[in-house]
Amino acid sequence: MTESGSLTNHASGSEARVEQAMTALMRSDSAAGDDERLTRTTIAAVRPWLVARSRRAYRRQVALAMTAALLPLPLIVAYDRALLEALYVVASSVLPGPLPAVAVGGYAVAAVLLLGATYAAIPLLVDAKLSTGRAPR
Amino acid sequence: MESDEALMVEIAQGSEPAFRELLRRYQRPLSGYLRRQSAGRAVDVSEVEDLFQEVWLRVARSAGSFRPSARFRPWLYRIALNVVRDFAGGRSPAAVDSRFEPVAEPTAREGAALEAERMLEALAPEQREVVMLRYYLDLSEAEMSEVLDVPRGTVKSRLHAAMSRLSTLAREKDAES
Repeated sequence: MTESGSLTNHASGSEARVEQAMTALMRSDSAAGDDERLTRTTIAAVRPWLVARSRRAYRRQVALAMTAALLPLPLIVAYDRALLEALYVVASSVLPGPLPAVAVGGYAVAAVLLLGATYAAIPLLVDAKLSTGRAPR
Repeated sequence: MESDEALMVEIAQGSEPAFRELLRRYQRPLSGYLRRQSAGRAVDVSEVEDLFQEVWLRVARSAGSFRPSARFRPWLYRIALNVVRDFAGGRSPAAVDSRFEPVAEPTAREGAALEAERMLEALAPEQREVVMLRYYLDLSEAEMSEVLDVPRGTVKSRLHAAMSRLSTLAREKDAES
């Protein structure tokens, strides 16, 4: 940098000098240090927080999905009940003895199991969705 | 490539791969920034690593409150600056760690890096902050304003004061040699 330059030249000259020096400093810093070890120790330190966040997100998602799925449940139950009663009336007119009760009862048990399995699958589906989001890049 | 902000949204959900990716992107500039910002306070390598981990712990802890509309880079360096300030609050300036001093005749590149170290040491802390943010991390004035939580005008005046100081030092050095 020369003393004869104007104030502007001094400013831009020193700026260029600072830029060069900082670039050299950055390069020298990049060459030094054990990145791999620092990454490992940092992730080890942060992992408990990430796990806690992940669990919290999972619980929140499950709660939301369950709430959304349970909202129409009274309607589904009322509809199934009406359907079963109608089926029983029809079956009673066609089938003899206890057969209508057995057929409608079997259908009712199957419907309850299907409904239960659907609700039980919700946490698994949420977990699968979150896991897809966490897939390694 | 996912943006830093999108990765932060995933980190808020506890995604470790997203965290790894963000760490990979910022590891070198951040560790260099922490080392340089805390220089002159008897900081050794392990302490710089502690600061580095503390920054990322704060990132993980605050991920839930990070707004996706915000910019990640100034947010990260603001955390870094706060970590350094918290750390420096309990320390008085002292000799620079000898591990960063060259033991042999420096090469041209090492010489330039040494000149940069001397430049930074000659500056007041707030001037060093703006020079590091502008020239080492390549932040814009708007981003610097966010990091430092001061108006852009203040950033400009600090940068101007730092450059004037460096210009004076350079003239003095040239006159000596």
